[in-house]
Amino acid sequence: MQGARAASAARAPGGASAPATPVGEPLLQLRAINKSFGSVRALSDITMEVPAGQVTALVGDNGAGKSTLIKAIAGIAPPDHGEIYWKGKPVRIHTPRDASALGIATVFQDLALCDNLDIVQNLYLGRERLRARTLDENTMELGAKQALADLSVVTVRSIRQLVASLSGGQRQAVAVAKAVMGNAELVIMDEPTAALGVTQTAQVLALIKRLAERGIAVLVISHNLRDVFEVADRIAVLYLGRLAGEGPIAEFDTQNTVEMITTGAATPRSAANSAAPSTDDAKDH
Amino acid sequence: MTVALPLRRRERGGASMRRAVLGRWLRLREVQLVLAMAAVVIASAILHPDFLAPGNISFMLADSAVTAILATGQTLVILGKGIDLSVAPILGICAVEVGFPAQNHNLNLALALMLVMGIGIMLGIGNGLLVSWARIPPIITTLATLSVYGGLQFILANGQEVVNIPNAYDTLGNADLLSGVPWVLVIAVGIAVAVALFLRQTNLGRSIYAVGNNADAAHRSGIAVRRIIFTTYVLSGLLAGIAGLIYLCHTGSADSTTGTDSNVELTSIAATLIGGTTLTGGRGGVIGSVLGAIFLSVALTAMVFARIPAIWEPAGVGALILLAMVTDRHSGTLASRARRRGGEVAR
Ligand SMILES: Nc1ncnc2c1ncn2[C@@H]1O[C@H](COP(=O)(O)OP(=O)(O)O)[C@@H](O)[C@H]1O
Ligand SMILES: [Mg+2]
Repeated sequence: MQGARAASAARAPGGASAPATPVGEPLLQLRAINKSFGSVRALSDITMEVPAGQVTALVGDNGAGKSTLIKAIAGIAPPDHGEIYWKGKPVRIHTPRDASALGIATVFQDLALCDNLDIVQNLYLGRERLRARTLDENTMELGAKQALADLSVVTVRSIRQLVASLSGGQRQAVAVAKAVMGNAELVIMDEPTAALGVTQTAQVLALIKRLAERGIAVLVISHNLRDVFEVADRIAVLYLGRLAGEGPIAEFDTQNTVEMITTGAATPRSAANSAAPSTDDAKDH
Repeated sequence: MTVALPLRRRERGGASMRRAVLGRWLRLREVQLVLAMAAVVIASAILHPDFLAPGNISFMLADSAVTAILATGQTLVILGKGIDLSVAPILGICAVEVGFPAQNHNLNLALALMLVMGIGIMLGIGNGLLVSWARIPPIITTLATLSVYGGLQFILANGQEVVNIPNAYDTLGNADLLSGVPWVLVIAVGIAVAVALFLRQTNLGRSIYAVGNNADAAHRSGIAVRRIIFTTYVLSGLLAGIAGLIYLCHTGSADSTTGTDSNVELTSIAATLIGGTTLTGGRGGVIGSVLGAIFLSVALTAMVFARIPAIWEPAGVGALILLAMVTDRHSGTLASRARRRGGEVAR
């Protein structure tokens, strides 16, 4: 479609608000993503970008299309129309395998862990280390310890305990460790703090910051604006399936964000629905 | 498994630690079954010394071999959250298909083994395709193939009956390795150990547990879920085929209703459930199923020794299944209580 124009427009100014993170090329770019469920238009012409090494928050009311959008990126439910660019190149993401091959890992709301397996088994699920064609438990145990230590946020009693026995924050940490272990460059998280108490929410926010410190881009969905303002470098607001606004965190405050979430329009000039990519509008500020 | 002991417990030491270790052991279904079996054997032996005669032990163990082999395959399917009702006619077709050539043309035993494996795999592929690609629920698929394969067996047997088998078959089916240890049980245990190693030490085995517990999570982890499920049905078919040959060798007979007439599909499911594998998938293992099969045979023989009429046999099987389920629940509660305690330690 209008790929060339949008590409030239997509220069992230995000570095200023995130001094700890080097400004990267735009890692992931979405162009005119559309998705309908029957007559429900869940996503209409979503054009946005996720820069490398930064935390991008995706916010919006219930039913705004946040989950639908990340499912499209994760290869769970590919979009009807639109293009996805990864590191500037057009890519097709039809299955979760496609996404992880690129370096996109998704931590879903339900965490997608197997309760009957222990932490090590979950971390290496689908990519077990083998030795003489049998499972190499020692190598996997060491790798699992390392992966959890790298996140250095949540501790567990034993890496051989069943995932069923973990607390919400610990489960979240295991899910994130699993996502990062495949050498992910972008980690997508759907409402990682929704079901958690105060302490565990703090743990997960620390986890997100830790990922960004390690140069991994994070796209996080959240309902909680306090959490968003604590961790995000950029914000993208969805309203009834379209992008109501996008930009560095400096352009947002609680008031205009809430306004945008509830009405779809606010201080950063209201995004026109189709003709001009809404990214351009957000960046005028 | 190499479960690292939690720190707290290691520190405690002494009597309470020994109690904790004992508690964990007692929660293992395999241990429960061995203890229950010991109780039944001791009680029966006291009341009827003949119970321990080598002939009777050999009889009980040989009797459980066919069930054990079927249950090993059934366990793979159930671990993947499926079920295979069609093992009875797969066993029957295989018994008939090698039974007649063996009786009439002295078919070579090795050739017979290859034949039953081939037939078992093909019939298993039928189930696997229907469940994993046509996405028909396992219970409906295998209820249908139970009927279809049963009809096929009827046609293949053509009203004839196998009544005579070559000596080699009979030896395999009825000779003891040691006094009281029949060859057929050695074969069944050998198969189960191989499958247990496969489950524990290969990524395919691990995938079966993952798929059975959470197919979505497995899929998102890059596991080819349909291929895994397909594989469990093929393996179940393969093992049911081998069970058919063992059945033929042990009983020396086969006809149009072999397998279905004694409801071996239900017995294999019973052994699996008694062995601690849960119908909800992802939990259990084949060693438990073999012990379940042996336990069923021992318990039913004990009923005979206790002069309980044979018409009560199905009721006995049912009672054992229910008992196993109740024990499951109880162990489950204990386990989750321990887990909750563990969670507090973590914080
Ligand atoms: N599988 C589906 N089938 C039909 N409608 C769906 C499906 N998934 C989402 N939708 C609809 O798409 C819209 C966006 O949903 P969703 O992406 O889940 O919103 P959010 O995650 O922002 O709360 C909603 O109107 C929802 O009802
Ligand atoms: Mg959602």
